[in-house]
Amino acid sequence: MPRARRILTAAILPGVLLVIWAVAAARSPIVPGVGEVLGVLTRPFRQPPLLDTTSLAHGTLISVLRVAMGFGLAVLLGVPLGVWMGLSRTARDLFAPMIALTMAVSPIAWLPIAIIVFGLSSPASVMAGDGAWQYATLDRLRFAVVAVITLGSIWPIILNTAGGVRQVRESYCEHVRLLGGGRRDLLRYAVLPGALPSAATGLRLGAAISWRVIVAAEIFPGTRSGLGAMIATAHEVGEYQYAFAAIGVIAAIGLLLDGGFRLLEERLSHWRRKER
Amino acid sequence: MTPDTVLISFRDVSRRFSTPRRGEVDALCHVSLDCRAGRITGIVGPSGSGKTTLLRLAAGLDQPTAGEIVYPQWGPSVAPPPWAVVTQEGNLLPWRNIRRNITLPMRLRNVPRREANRRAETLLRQMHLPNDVALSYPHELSGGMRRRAAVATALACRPQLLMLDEPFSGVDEATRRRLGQQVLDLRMQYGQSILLVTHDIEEALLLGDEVVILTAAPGIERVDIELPHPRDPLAKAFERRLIELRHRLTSR
Ligand SMILES: Nc1ncnc2c1ncn2[C@@H]1O[C@H](COP(=O)(O)OP(=O)(O)OP(=O)(O)O)[C@@H](O)[C@H]1O
Ligand SMILES: [Mg+2]
Repeated sequence: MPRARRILTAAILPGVLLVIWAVAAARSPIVPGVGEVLGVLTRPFRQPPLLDTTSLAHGTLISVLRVAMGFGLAVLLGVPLGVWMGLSRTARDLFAPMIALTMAVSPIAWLPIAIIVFGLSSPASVMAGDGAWQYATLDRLRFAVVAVITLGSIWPIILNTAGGVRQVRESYCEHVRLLGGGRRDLLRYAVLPGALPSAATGLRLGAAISWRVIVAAEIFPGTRSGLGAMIATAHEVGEYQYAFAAIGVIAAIGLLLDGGFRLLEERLSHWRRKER
Repeated sequence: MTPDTVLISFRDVSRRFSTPRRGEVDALCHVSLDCRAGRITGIVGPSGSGKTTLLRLAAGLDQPTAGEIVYPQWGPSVAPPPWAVVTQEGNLLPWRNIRRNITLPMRLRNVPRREANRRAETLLRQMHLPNDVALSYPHELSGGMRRRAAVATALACRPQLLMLDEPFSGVDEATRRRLGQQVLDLRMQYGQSILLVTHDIEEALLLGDEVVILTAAPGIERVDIELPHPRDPLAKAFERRLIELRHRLTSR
């Protein structure tokens, strides 16, 4: 039974982890029990009584919305920029040093600078100006965090898109030109579809980075809310069941995100199976 | 366009490649030849004799290093090009299924989708490809099927000149015969002008109205083949020409 055996093998380490957790919870007053964590997870809309944060569900919503905005912007900017860099030597020379520089620094490090640039502005402050506080959720989507997410996730998108464009075989472009295609047709029928699988890889990597960066960014004062804030606050008051629950949600959404983008990647690159 | 109108004229054309490891390579040396309308011009020569180079030059995909190539009918740069090329690899876009590959040139010429699909079906039939191939992707087909789909794509351009680079290599004998017959049909029924590159002299003799022999030596040798169609490869006259061509190829 190779299949059952593989499932068993895969379950070994998570099982060990669970046992360690149960033992630790039984021996230490700080470590929350499995039951306590499940209690938080099964009542996601309850406002944590001892924590100065919103509910688990609301925190999740805020984190997801922040990532959606930041990552969405990264896609909108990164894909065209990547295509341009793939096509033009000049564009490559222009952006390469900037990319190398910003990529070497953790996106979180930019957060103070982003807060200086964007202040406390948010979608709510754009909509309502001084009355921004009335839109609790929107006001928490501070542009400073969104910018940091964009900054963190745009590089793999740009680099993979550019790489994909450069890898498209010259013969495909020749083919479209011979069939009577002009410059725009080349882009549309040869360059872009050929670069799509690689760009999808970039999206997957970018999404993974976004989701990792957001939690760290949410621990920062000034942008503090969402799942990251819940972990930080839980730590400060010693109510660790909330931290554990938040970690569980983060892991689940992260896995979902990765699985979704993997699926997209596979869909877009089915034709490459033979070439590899 | 009357038969025998010159479509492409090579005038003392040479193509030299500068390569990092082999130094200067003369792929083509002082070639002069005319490619005429309504005919099958067969280009034969051993591997490395410059056949593909000649075809790429004719298609405007490459420029000669000496001499000139003239298109008396078309002027220097017409768009879309009045010719279509099937390369040795069988150029299909791997991310489009066969139908969408065949309809691409029609899309580029603003043929309505429905009409394009209908014509794609006809072309598939003409190339003896089963209908369910239409939705397959190139990597899902055999080499021979891919080659035929590539020919169908080229024909979808309704080219005034069809350029084929060894379209039948890697295909079994029976299919090869049938494909040859289809190429011949294009020429006999529609007066399609065809430039056919092959390393198989017998094939060139079976299909060609004239055969151009290319070897490593400078220049070319041109032979008119006035045997009537259909040609019988077992007939005495055919065999005599074949021996003669073989002799010319080896003695150059
Ligand atoms: N882009 C290139 N760069 C360098 N050398 C080249 C290039 N293209 C062709 N050659 C050389 O030119 C010569 C002729 O090549 P070509 O591909 O035209 O031969 P061919 O007759 O088509 O051969 P085959 O029957 O194997 O396809 C060869 O020696 C080849 O190495
Ligand atoms: Mg060749």
